[in-house]
Amino acid sequence: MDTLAWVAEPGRDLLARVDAVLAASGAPADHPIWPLLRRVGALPGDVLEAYCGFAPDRLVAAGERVRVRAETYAEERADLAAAVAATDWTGTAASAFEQRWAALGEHLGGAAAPDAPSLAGRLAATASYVDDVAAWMRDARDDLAHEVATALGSQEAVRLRVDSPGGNGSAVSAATIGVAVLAVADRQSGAAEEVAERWAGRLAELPFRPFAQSSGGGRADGTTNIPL
Amino acid sequence: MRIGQLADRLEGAGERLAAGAGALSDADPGAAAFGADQPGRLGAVGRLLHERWSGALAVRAREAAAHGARLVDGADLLGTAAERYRGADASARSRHDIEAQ
Repeated sequence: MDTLAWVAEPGRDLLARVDAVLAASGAPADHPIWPLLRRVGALPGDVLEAYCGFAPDRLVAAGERVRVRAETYAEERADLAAAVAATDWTGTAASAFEQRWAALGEHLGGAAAPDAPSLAGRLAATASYVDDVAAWMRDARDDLAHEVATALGSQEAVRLRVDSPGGNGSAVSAATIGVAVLAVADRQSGAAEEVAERWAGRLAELPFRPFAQSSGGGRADGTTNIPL
Repeated sequence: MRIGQLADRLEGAGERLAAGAGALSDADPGAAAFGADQPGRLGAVGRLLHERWSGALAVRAREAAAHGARLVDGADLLGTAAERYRGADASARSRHDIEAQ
């Protein structure tokens, strides 16, 4: 259970009041809540509900399934490489196949490393991307939890409870709390967009190169020797 | 290892790769898990993050299917080469038997 889960219930109550006051009374015309409301396009209570709905553990589990598959690719390549090496075959056809296998094996990938230019690497990058999204969700939840906890103990929260709903004091208090919550949504949305941008290149399709970078023909010695 | 056996191993790997391609979409927990159903910029960010994920899974599936087919093609080439060598070997033995008579 993270901090947001602890403050969610009292936070819901507080932000429901904030939303109600903002809807009924608005806020002073020059209050910084207006540009934030325009940028976020949601009320403070919506932000809390949205972040409470994040399920980073489900994303990590999804990433793990993809990572296991990446490791399967690397194992498959190792098994095939051992089979190719164990085939005692020389001659022109053997050399041509060796080059073909070098390209096929290189594309499949020898390690589930996110930066590797191979299918195993691309799968690992896909898993790491969703891990990064899950990490962002946890950061966002912590960020919001801190602001909600601070708001719960603030003078503005007390004023929202004791002042009459239509009063100017309530409107300013609601707007002040609203700014703290919407600012989290604003900066965390930016952070999430950076995550998406950071991974874009490593998630793109990997073209197949018919000739491997590391291929070297070693089986064409002018004679043909083949176990049939 | 014999060439026919290597061809079988390559073909099996290609078929496993291609068969697993379709299963990759099972790893998608859905757009809502990314917050795509939320209002305003919250939902826009969720949709962006999910589109990256589901798009990447679709590309991975396409790559796996294509490479599985390449491995099977490689197995076919090996099989053809082995057949050709077998034919050449058989005719050489036949010539040798005739000349020896």
